[in-house]
Amino acid sequence: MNNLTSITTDFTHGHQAHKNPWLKSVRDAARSRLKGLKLPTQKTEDWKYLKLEKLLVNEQLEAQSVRELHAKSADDIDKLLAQSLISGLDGYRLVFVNGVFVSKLSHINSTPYSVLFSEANPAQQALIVAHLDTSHNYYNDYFSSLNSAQLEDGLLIHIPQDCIVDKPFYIVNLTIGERPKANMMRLLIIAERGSKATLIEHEDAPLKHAGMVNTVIECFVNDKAHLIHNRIQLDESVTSLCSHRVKQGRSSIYQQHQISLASKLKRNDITVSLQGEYGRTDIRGTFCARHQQTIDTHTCTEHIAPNCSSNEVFRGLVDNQANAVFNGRIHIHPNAQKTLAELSNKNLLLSDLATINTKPELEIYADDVKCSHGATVGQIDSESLFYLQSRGIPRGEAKRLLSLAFIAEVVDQLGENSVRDFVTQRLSSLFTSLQYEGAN
Amino acid sequence: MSDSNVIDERLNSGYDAGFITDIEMQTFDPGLDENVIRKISAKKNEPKFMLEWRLNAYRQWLAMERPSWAHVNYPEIDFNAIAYYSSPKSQEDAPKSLAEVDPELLRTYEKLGIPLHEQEALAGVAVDIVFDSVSIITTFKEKLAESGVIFCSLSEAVINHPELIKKYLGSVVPINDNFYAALNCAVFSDGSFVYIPKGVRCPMELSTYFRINEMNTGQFERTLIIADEGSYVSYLEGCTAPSRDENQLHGAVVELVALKGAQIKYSTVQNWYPGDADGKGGIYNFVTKRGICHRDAKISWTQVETGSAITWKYPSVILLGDNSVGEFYSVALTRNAQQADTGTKMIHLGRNTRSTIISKGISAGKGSNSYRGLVNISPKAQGARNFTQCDSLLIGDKCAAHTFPYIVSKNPSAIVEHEATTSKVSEDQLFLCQQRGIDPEKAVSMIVNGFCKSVFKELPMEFAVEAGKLLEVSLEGSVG
Amino acid sequence: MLKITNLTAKVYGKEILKGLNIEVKPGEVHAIMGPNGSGKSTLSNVLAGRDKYAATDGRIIFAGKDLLSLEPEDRAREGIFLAFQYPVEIPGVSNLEFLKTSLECLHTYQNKPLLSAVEFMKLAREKCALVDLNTDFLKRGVNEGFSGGEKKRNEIMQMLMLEPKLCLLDETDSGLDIDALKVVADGINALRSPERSFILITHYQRLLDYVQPDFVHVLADGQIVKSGGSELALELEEKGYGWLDSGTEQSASPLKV
Repeated sequence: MNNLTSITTDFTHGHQAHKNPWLKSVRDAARSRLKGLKLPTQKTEDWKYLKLEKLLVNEQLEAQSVRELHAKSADDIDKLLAQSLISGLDGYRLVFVNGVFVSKLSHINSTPYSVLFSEANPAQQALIVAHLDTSHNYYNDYFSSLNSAQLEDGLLIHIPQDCIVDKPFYIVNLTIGERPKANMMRLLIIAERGSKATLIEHEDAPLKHAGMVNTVIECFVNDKAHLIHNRIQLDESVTSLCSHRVKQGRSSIYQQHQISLASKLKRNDITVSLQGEYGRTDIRGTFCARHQQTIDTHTCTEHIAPNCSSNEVFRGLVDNQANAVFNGRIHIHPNAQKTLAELSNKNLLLSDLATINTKPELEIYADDVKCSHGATVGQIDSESLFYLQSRGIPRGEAKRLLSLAFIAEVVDQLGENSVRDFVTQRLSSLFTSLQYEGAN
Repeated sequence: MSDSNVIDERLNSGYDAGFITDIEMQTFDPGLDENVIRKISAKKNEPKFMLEWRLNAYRQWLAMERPSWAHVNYPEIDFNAIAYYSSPKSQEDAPKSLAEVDPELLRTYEKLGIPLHEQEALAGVAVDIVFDSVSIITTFKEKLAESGVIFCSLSEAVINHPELIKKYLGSVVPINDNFYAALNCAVFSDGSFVYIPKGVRCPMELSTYFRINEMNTGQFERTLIIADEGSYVSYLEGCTAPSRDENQLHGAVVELVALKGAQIKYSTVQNWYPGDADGKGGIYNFVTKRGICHRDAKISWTQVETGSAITWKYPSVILLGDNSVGEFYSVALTRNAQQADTGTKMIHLGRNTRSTIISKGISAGKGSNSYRGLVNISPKAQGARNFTQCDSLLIGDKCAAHTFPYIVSKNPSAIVEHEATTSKVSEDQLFLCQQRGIDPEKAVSMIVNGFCKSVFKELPMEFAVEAGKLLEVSLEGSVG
Repeated sequence: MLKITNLTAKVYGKEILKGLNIEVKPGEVHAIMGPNGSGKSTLSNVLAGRDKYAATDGRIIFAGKDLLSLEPEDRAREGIFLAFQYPVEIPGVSNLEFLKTSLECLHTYQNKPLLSAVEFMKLAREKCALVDLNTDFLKRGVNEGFSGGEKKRNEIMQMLMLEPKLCLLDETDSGLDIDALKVVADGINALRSPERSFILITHYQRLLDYVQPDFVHVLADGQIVKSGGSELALELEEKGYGWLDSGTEQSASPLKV
């Protein structure tokens, strides 16, 4: 445990020689924030269901340096890609391995509107510095500060005004190699006024190697822009912390689909702030946890401007001894009249030893609003199970089918067919390996 | 007439129970240390075990921190500025009958609508009266004794039934449970005690009426109700206090024990002084209420909370025995600058345990109303079931309504459902009522009462009417 | 009974009624027809006194009183009843409770003796039967979970209970199937009397097949542009509103359902 704190201290002293000196102001601001922050404990309300100290033992919170990665052989990677990429997806592919961009696997030259921080021109540099860490308040946000404090590189996607991008951006982040240092992913997406784009983020660990990812994603969806964001986290062997923040302008639309498999520890913080009138947010997510895995999803929808709407649906499947946490917060600020906000979290507990903690929260400071939330925890409906069994389907298979059906509402809404098929197939094989005989 | 005008005007209404009783009191000097606790204990002629229990609690309290997680704001309380004991002088020699009670006290309760003479009292309701730190009188004691029911002040119970006190006091809410409960254990001055013997259905409603009168005092009372196997009791508490500019602390502890197959129905109509329109004065109501259900037992909490500057209470049920049932029905109204953080905890330990939570929060003016609840399904709670419904009604655009439900499930056969909604009294609803000849004031109270209906129906009949009226009075104001 | 002189009215700052004149005598049935956006619903809301529907000029005299100076509830107590186009739901308040409160308020104002609980129930059941509503409806929340047709029938049921002097029906016929339309029409006809007047606001002729109006007015761009007998409605049905050529923003709108 002590190694964690010592690493943090190192960052704050900034002994590493970083590339991209123009990012120094971002790093320095994060370092000074970190001085006032401690690793969250169970006494921190937002982390109360995680034994972080235990879960992070032996994890590396220090960033992988670029040099270390390039020393590794890239030969195997080609083969790995064949197995791990979504086939049939026609998109602008950008591949990262352990958080480092690998150009030979990416369509970097043909991919429009995107640039690595390290290759940004002065105008882009100014844009990056003006946006990084501005979408959200940082008090108490330990891990994203850690990311910023060590920021060396990242990816900027900048969609110009009124531009409708023809193909999705396909961003792949693979973790390979036993226990590499932490992979500090950083994405900055700026969708200018009236633009429209689709993003598919795919996190995977094809060799089931353990690793640690600390991601920060910031999306600026400006007035009348429309961003569709699919996030597929299939890296079950990787400990992952992700802070994902979205800032929306007037009449903008942000749609997110998130499919997450748990790991030793997987934490997703999603904060959307609706800052312009008539904005719309749609979030559909599912999380699946098994064995001794832990997954913790925290979402927060900040309704700041009036006349906005948000709709959030999360479905959870928790099996074996896994522990899942869901905390969905809707916060209606005093001026956000005529808000429509809905949140629903439904969970299936599949085993005697699994745990789910769910907490849908409403915090409302305006009266002319319509808000509702609901949460349920239950088991597979015995009627349905019996119906399937009575048609000759074995109990284990029936349970598998019904579990998949439970999250289908979310999976089916993945817009791209190829992505949906890929995810369905991965989920389906995942459930085949589940041991249902033990559960009733 | 816009609806916001209507509502603004109705927000400035009176508090009927705000008068002060002019009576000679005997009050300790403000301050808290072991000597004060010894003095309280000596005043009550308590046995040694009770004093030691208090001192133990006090020592633990000293090391505890004031909880800060609730969604309420209030200045630091100076616990040495509070007097911990205050009683009418005339109570020095405890009156044996109503004839010996100071007539000024009787008048106080008549003014509050609680006639104490048994022949005049509400038929079928026995009352224990707690005035500041002491129990004044308990009515219908003899009649209750006929069926073996013990209904008396807690001070009497400590002396007359030490075996029950030793066994059950602090058994549901441990002395170090939380900051305010520990303080109560150290300094509690009186309260009500109820014991219902095996298989007895208590022949009348029991009730305690709490009144804070003296300045600068805190009221720390405890209630302990034991329903022995297969028995039934319905109990109601009411509370009021004079309108004073200072904040006063009320830190009660209520413990309910429902043994095998027993049922306890506990209703509260809380109308402590809420402070004025600017948030000056009012009671800080920091209360710990908890019940434990053994096999096949049932505990039902119903609360109508319209008073207090700050309410911090979570009447809870530990569902220990198989097939036990916990219920929580709540209406909480905050207006002016009132803040409420209230809800319940349903701890499912036994198999096939069931719980229902219905919470209705009404926020008006600058009021802040939070529901905070926990539904915890332990691994052994096979077949447990919870249903929770939390609705908020907002009146005006300066108020706030929050919902913080914690759900923890560790058993796959359990089913937990939580639903929450918010709504406002809409202009269209008001206009429809007006178009049918109903004035806006009546319309608002009709709509609010409709909103609360599912909770009011859980109150004992006599009090359901009272609660409806109380809500009406709280929302009352002149419409120009 | 009702005399509207040169009425102009604004809704959210926009002028909708631009000098409207109409007179309704006791016992008369007037139909006001017109294209969408002509100001039909504005007229009914101004008469009933809805907030944000502000008369800016003109006079409305109802039963000898200056209607515009009265609060909405007092207009109701004077005998104006508006059957809403979109009746709002009031969850938790039962129809029974609502009607009883309403009736008591009206009777108190009109110095009539209050009904006993038994008399009230008898009356309510009777009126429910008239509009083909099961008496279970009385126990349910006001309009809560009612279908469109049930809401409209509930409005007529209330009208039957309250026995107003002037009944304003704001597109009560819209969205009703033929059976429900007949029920509504029967309700109206049952109330017709020499002392009671009706204003039927409608887009279509079909209600007028069942309720014969004495007068038909065409409202366009905030003014009555044509008045006539019941034959005018048939003419409108046939030709649409375009032939009136009143310069409204609406072109000829089809009148077929």
